[in-house]
Amino acid sequence: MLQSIMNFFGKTKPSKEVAKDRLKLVLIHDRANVSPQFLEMIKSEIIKVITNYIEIDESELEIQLTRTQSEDGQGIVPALIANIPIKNVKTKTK
Amino acid sequence: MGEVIVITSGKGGVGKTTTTANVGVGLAMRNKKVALVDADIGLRNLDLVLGLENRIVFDLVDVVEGRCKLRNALVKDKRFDGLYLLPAAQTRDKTAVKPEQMIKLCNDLRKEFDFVLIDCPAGIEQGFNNAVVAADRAIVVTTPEVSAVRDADRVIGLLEAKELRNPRLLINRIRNDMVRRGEMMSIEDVKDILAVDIIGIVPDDEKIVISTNRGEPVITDGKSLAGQAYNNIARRILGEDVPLLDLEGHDEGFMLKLKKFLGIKN
Amino acid sequence: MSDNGVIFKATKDGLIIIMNKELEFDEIYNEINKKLISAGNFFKGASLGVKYRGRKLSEEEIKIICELMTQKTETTISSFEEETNNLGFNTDIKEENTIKENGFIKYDMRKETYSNDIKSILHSREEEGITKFYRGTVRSGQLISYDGNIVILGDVNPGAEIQAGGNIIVMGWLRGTVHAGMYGNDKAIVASLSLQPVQLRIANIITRPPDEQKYESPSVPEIAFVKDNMIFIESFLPQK
Repeated sequence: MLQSIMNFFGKTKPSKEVAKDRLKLVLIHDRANVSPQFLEMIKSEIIKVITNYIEIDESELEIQLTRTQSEDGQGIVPALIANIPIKNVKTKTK
Repeated sequence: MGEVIVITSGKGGVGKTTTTANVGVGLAMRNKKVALVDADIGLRNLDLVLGLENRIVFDLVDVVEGRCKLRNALVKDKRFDGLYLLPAAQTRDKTAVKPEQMIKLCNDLRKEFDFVLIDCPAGIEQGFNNAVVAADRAIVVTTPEVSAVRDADRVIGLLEAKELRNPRLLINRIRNDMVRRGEMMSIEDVKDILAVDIIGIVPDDEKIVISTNRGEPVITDGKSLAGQAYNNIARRILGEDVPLLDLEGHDEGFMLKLKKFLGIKN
Repeated sequence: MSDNGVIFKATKDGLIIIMNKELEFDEIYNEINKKLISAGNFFKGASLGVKYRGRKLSEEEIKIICELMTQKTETTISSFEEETNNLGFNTDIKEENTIKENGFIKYDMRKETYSNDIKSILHSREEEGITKFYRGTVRSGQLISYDGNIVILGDVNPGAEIQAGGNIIVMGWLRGTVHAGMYGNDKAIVASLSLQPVQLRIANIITRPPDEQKYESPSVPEIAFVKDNMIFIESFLPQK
């Protein structure tokens, strides 16, 4: 409680909170047994599909597993977040 | 028939061996017959913590390879009747023992002892598999650090995959002053993340270092906080309902007094 | 010594056959035969130097025993001779420095400054057999094992193990576990510049330092040996 008041006055986040956040994230990866190779596979598949329609910056494409508030607001669920910078939308569609 | 409990952690250096020695002594102090098995073949240390290093003649590998009888390899503790150590081999490696041999060994020990505590090596390779294969229960030791908690989570997953359900968590080396400042994860924080029941918490206590130096488990020092913590764990293993050690008030500082005065709970 | 008529004694050089002089050759022959059978494959393939004592043997008898041994054990007998010195026995050697007084044997301290026991150890070792030399620190988890003697030019750390069929000499700190005379030779010795082993074994005898925390071994070179079925430790420098 006191800690939150201190945070309010602009003190940096206490290290235990940082530790918890980092742990929670890394444990999602560990528990889901998602390897970087696995994410790379997803990434290349996504690129393949999207480039059919949109011109994207492949080097800047980012994919990560994280947690987010569930739709019904009932708690935290794992989520796959992709950040795909678009260069140009292809006008011609197949 | 006795019960086989494995003490494991994944990460090294979090206090498995100290825990095994102290919990073993705690059970022996309560008139239980206890065998401590050092499964860390090639890096034996339990003998040192117990102060029995110069009494070893045969070891675990000698037993499984049939060079001596189990009875002859068990080293009797010098302080407590009913406490015995089965030391690891120092000049061999983890591959010297097979899981089947470990099961046989534990079944033999089960007949003679009320409790068989297995000090598991760090890591999740063959040494880990050997240590957990015959266990009925598991205690996972961790410290409130990100690396230890992450490894504990991995180990809990592996234990569950091996049908060792509901392992109990022991949180070691808690520094209450740091927890209060928000610079160390609290018991609740760790419990939330790992979602397993806690069998005990042990404060960071310099007496552990001192007692290990002397080869006398800290639990024999009834005044030390860590000793009390291990006593509580031994009682919980025996089924008693003992509340977690109250770490507050043992190093009461100004901020705590202020918070108590203001009625703020940490 | 034993109720058997024949005793086999293994040394680093080979085998000593000790025979009871009261027995007839036929009985000796039968005893040796029995011993060889019970030894099984122990000598198989070895080349043995054999010495005998306790009884004289004729050329003919030697030939018969040699044939028996080669046939029963598949060994090569490299030599077969009567033992002339009392190798492996140290009791006789003290004689030259002892004087008899009122029927008691008394050691003459004027002739030597070594203790009785150490002197007999030093004097009874004319042939020592093969030796392995190891240079460097022997660390925890390392095992050095050798059928002959071992000399370590370095320290032996706690958790390290040295096993020798013969003697063990450590030219440094000895803080590990050592086993000299591991096949049962209780004439083997352990010597070190600083003898502080976790555990020390000679033949079948095991010893360890006392439990008292305050115990500190003296910082002088020491030798460990067996006497009356117990391990004794003494400084091996001449006593002043």
